[in-house]
Amino acid sequence: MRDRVAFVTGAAGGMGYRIAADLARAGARVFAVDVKEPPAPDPEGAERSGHYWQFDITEEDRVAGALGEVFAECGRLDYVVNAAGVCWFDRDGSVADIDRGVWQRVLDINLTAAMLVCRHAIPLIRRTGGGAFVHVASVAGLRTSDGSTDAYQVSKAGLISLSRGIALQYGPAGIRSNTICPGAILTSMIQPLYDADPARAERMASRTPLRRLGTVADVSSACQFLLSDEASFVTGTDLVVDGGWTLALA
Amino acid sequence: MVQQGRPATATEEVDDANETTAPHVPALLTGRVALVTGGTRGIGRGIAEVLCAAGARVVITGRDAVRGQKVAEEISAHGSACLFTAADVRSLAQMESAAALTREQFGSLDVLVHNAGVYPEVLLEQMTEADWDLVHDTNLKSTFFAFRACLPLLKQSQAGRIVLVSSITGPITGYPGLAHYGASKAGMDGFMRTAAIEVAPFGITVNAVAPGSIRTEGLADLGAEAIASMEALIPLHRLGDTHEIGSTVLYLASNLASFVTGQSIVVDGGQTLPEIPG
Repeated sequence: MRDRVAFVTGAAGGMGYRIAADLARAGARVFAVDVKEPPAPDPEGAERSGHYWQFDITEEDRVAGALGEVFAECGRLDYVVNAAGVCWFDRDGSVADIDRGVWQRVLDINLTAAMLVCRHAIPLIRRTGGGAFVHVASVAGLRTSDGSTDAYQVSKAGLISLSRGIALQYGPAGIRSNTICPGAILTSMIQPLYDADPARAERMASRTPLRRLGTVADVSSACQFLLSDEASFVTGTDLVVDGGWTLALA
Repeated sequence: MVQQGRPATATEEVDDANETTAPHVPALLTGRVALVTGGTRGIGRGIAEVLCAAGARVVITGRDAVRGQKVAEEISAHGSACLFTAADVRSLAQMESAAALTREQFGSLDVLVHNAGVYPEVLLEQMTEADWDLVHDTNLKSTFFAFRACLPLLKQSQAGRIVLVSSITGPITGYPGLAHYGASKAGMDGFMRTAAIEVAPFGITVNAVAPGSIRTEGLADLGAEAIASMEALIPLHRLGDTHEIGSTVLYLASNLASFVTGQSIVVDGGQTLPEIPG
């Protein structure tokens, strides 16, 4: 991935941070964005190869501006990773009673922002001569949420559909688009659930055929594969990284 | 007629035109040992070339010993050691012999790639029981045989991996003349999902790769026009290369995919995406 240029959203979160760091370690120039403060520097300093922006990616002009800066500085854009996403376990819920504002905000962050990133990245990737998108979706977008987080589930299903549309429409331009659908992964996003119910992690692991929870490294290595030339004929697919979680009914 | 979704696993009758090139892939399998059934031509050969280039020592099986020896030598010249052993995947005893030879020669077995398969086209109205049985014995029953023969060795591995070469034909699409083939490939996917659960406690993963239209030796016979019409149906506007199936197998066989099991990765350049193909 040497000399390739990557743009990663959600780069302060567990998965996005690891993805950005691993891309940098593989030799890519990585530009990162998150609404949150930049995380503590990677011990190897790997992720410091590009800018880190702190802004809300539902703001289209900020998204367009950042991507424009990347292209102005590097003259190319190869990879885009949409890893930004929220799951508000405390406020998300069933369609029967979810707050309308919560519903809209989750869709804005998880789905519309990804659309905005794609919209402004596609012309730049075309000018580069091709490239690849990876969107971090969820098994909840393929099946249903474990518990009712309907806005989250619908946003992830939408992200999967968005990815397929890009794959079909921009394949002729040499642009690939795939999703990763993680199952139970240990991240800061899900940590509150485990804090509230310490037995939950063990219960989830025991329900997973491979008998462990996933790690951000599992997701990041799937991302590396899908972006890399090893996946050059893979597009429009959804790579489930769940340890077999969705295979078994019991 | 447009060759939509034409399967492209190893065929029985193909030209001898494949020239070995060393694929550029990361060395993700250093020290690992792999067995690739149907590894002497087409997709199977492409997979073996990639795994060898990634550092694995590889045993390939096939039925034509003269061809097999030659291909193994050609692959070895560009990567790690590659050996051929003659074996018919329709025989459990022969699969067990192939597994035993792998252990004798290389000391262990970490990765089974079950790729061998046939796709003789015959419409259902003309299909005989023998037609059906040939395809199901070679493609599906053999999956169980290869699995059974290799499982004892895979359980001893620190990173046991099984990768099945399925297809888009059957699991996702249909193709006239290939009802038996499609059923066998969908059967492989069904086998995979239960096998993945059963061997997960041993740390073994079971996954599949579903190729779309891949450029193999026999394809040139179809003519440039037929190939161009196939390419027009693929969003990436080209056929896949056997090494592109190999590099997806490589991901699944490596440590990178240790949390991925029971999955089929479609490698079709987006061919199955449109609502109405073509």
